[in-house]
Amino acid sequence: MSWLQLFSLAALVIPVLLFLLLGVSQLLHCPLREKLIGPMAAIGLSAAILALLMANGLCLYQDSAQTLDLGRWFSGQGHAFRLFFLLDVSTLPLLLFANLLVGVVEAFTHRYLHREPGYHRFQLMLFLFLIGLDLVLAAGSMEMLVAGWEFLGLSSALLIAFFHERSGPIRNGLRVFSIYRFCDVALVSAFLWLHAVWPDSAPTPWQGGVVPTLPRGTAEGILLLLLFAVSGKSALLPFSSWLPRAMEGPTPSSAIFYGALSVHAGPLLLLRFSWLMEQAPAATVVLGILGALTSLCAALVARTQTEIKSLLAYATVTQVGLIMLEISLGWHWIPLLHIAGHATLRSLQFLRAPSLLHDRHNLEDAIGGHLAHARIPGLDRLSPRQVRKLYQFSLHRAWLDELLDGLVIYPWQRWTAALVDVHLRLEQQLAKFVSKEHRR
Amino acid sequence: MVTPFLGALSTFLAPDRWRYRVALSFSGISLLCLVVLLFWHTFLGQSSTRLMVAGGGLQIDPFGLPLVLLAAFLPWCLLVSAPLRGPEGKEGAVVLLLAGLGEMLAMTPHGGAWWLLAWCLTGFAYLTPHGESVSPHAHHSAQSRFRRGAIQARFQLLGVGLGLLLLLLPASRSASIEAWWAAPFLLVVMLRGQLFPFHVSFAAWVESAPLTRVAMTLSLMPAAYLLTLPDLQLAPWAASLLFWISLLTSLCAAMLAHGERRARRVVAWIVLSASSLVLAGLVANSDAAQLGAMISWLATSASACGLLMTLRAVEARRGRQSLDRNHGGYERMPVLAGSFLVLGLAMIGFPATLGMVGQELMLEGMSEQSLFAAALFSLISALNGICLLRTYFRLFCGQQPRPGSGQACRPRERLAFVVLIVVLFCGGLRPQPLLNLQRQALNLLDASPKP
Repeated sequence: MSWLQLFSLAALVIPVLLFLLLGVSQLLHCPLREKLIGPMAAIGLSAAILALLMANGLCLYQDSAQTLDLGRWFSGQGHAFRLFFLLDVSTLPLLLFANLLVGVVEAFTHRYLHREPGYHRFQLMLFLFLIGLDLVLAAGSMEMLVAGWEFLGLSSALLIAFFHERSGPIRNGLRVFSIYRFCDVALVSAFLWLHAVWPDSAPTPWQGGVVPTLPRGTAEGILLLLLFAVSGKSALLPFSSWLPRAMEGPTPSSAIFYGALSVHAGPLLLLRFSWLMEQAPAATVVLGILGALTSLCAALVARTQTEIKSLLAYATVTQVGLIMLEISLGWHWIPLLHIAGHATLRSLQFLRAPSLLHDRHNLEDAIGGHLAHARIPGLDRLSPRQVRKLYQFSLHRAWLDELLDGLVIYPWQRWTAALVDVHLRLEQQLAKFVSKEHRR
Repeated sequence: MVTPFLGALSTFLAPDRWRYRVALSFSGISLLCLVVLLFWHTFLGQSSTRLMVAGGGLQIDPFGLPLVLLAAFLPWCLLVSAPLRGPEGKEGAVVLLLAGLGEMLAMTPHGGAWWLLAWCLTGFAYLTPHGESVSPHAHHSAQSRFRRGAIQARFQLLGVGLGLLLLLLPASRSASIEAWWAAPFLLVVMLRGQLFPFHVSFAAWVESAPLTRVAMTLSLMPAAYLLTLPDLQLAPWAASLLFWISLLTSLCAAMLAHGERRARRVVAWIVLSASSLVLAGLVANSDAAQLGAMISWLATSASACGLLMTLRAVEARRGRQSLDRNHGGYERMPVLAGSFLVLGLAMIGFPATLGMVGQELMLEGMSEQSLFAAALFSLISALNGICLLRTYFRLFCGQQPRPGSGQACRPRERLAFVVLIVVLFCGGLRPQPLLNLQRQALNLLDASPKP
């Protein structure tokens, strides 16, 4: 094993060890003290960041991509789940970036959630999130990517419902998890379809294999499924309404999940499949249109938000929409830079959100007056009626919640309630039949 | 193998205050004997261990080995975590009896007389005691629940009777030739496996029966044993039909779980959904799916047992739970809450658990047969995951309940949950030895004709 692989392995293993340590201690009902967890996490994450720095340096020095093949986790009847990681020039910097951000948030959390009853729970979920993110970023196989994707989803939902004494966070956490799981079906279906047209033994393009030529319909179908999956994770239309709901969680989780990293998992996944976009032009156009529309809607909705975290949430959605548009145009490095810059800025904004008023007063003191209100360019050209319509559109958050509720959630609740009702009636009828037999 | 039966008898006859200790002792001895046998088997490196008893034979082969361990291990978990005093005391005897039957099913030659006896007797576990204590949250009286639960018992006994009739007829095994024999076989599997439309009163049975018995009964999966008879050749149309019926049952159960408002019924439907997927995998037209189903069989049995154990622990503290509101209490019983979540996730195939290994292989295998079936499989898994999280939030999150209700997890309960979780995770992190064993088991079984 080369030094690059060794350092990368260390960085990937450290969050797992931290998670196991915290998890086992909680399971055995002897949770570690806060005074121990904080330094332990700091040392662990620092070690991971250092290892990734070394790995990045070696990657640049050697100017070659490597892979980390830990063999097969399991195999049977011609199928194998390989533990295969990519260590190339786009993966390693992303891993370093992710670990840095998580390290910053961890340091913030140690103080922000000091003596909070859910401190241990938060730390556990944060490490689960980091494990998932590392898997998504460095996955060399589709199965590993799906595994990481699921870790991201679960940790996200449990952190939204962090303040579980209140019903709002619980409701929102469940809603977000439902959207994630529903969209994950599309992700798994896309991968199964790809498996069906791809020989198992052949390396995938992101493993350095030859890009296969898929039938047009297959490529379009797979990309559309991936787009559906990504829409859920990255809060594109029509699923954008979950992101402000996710702000119920603590500020550190809002920063790391919905400002920085988790929300960008979708664009990163699409960048991995950029080779597919070349073969699926129609689906790529759909991606571009979806990104643009998401960006436009979110920009309008953000204008009428009265709460800072909701405002930041919609600002995030706006940028994610633009990133999707950039990806649809066939760019690779611009979206990556956009992601990095956006994640950094948004994390800062989320972490500073509790101090917003204080910061604003400091700024106004510095400039010696009130800050000017930003106006939407071109709004003067619209008629008052049109402006009113736009205002309603923005105030109702593009009616996305109502759309989702009306088209999916309420019908689903009605169908399942009707199904339960039918079964209960059948049970009653059968029970009556049984009692009649007893009476005879 | 005799120990569980002796234990059952001793537990039944023991005074109430001794029942728990007697049941736990016999369960521990049985588990210890099997562990010792496993080490001896591994040390000698034999492919099977054959003991001749009363003209029949006991053998531990790759197919039976994990199942017999499960049959000994799960009762121990159930008994360690339950006090079994009062009316529940005799359930210890039932658990041991079922453990013995499970071991018989795994160790006796499949389809032989002893196997058949054990397979039939498992059906009688569905005969539940009449009525239970009624909690303020129950919407129906205990009598009504008993009547509804009795329907499922009738289905099971009908399946037992029909199965006995068919299995005793040698010509019925070669069902691929005499295709009309496949229809009654199909009916037996549907009855014993609670498949559509015989799933109707399944949740009612779970509501009316003691959870200890439910957990043990469901972990045995007699329908899966029937589908893995070595000389069974199911007609192609029957295998295909059974595959789709199992998937339909699984989907239906997942949807029902979403619509239910009572915790027991929700968990019952989730468990049925998972076990139906196992049956679908066993008759699928793919070796990978069958191998995955064998693994999922073990994972689903263990995790379903664990899930029902946690529900039993919650009900012991608060009574029957309705999911109309959030009940709270996480801060007082974090281990229970965590165990519920982790065991439920293991059942639906969350990564790093044994369930995931089985589901991954099943998914790959089913995609070879039909992409639509594989997509349906992942949809069902997603629905079960959503329902599980909803149940978790309802049971453990929300406003704190009134103080002084003594809800902390007892050390024995914690021990059982921790051991079960460790087994599921260790099996998931290092699954290859078990996979090799199950691959050997598949090779020993006759392949069914492809649907």
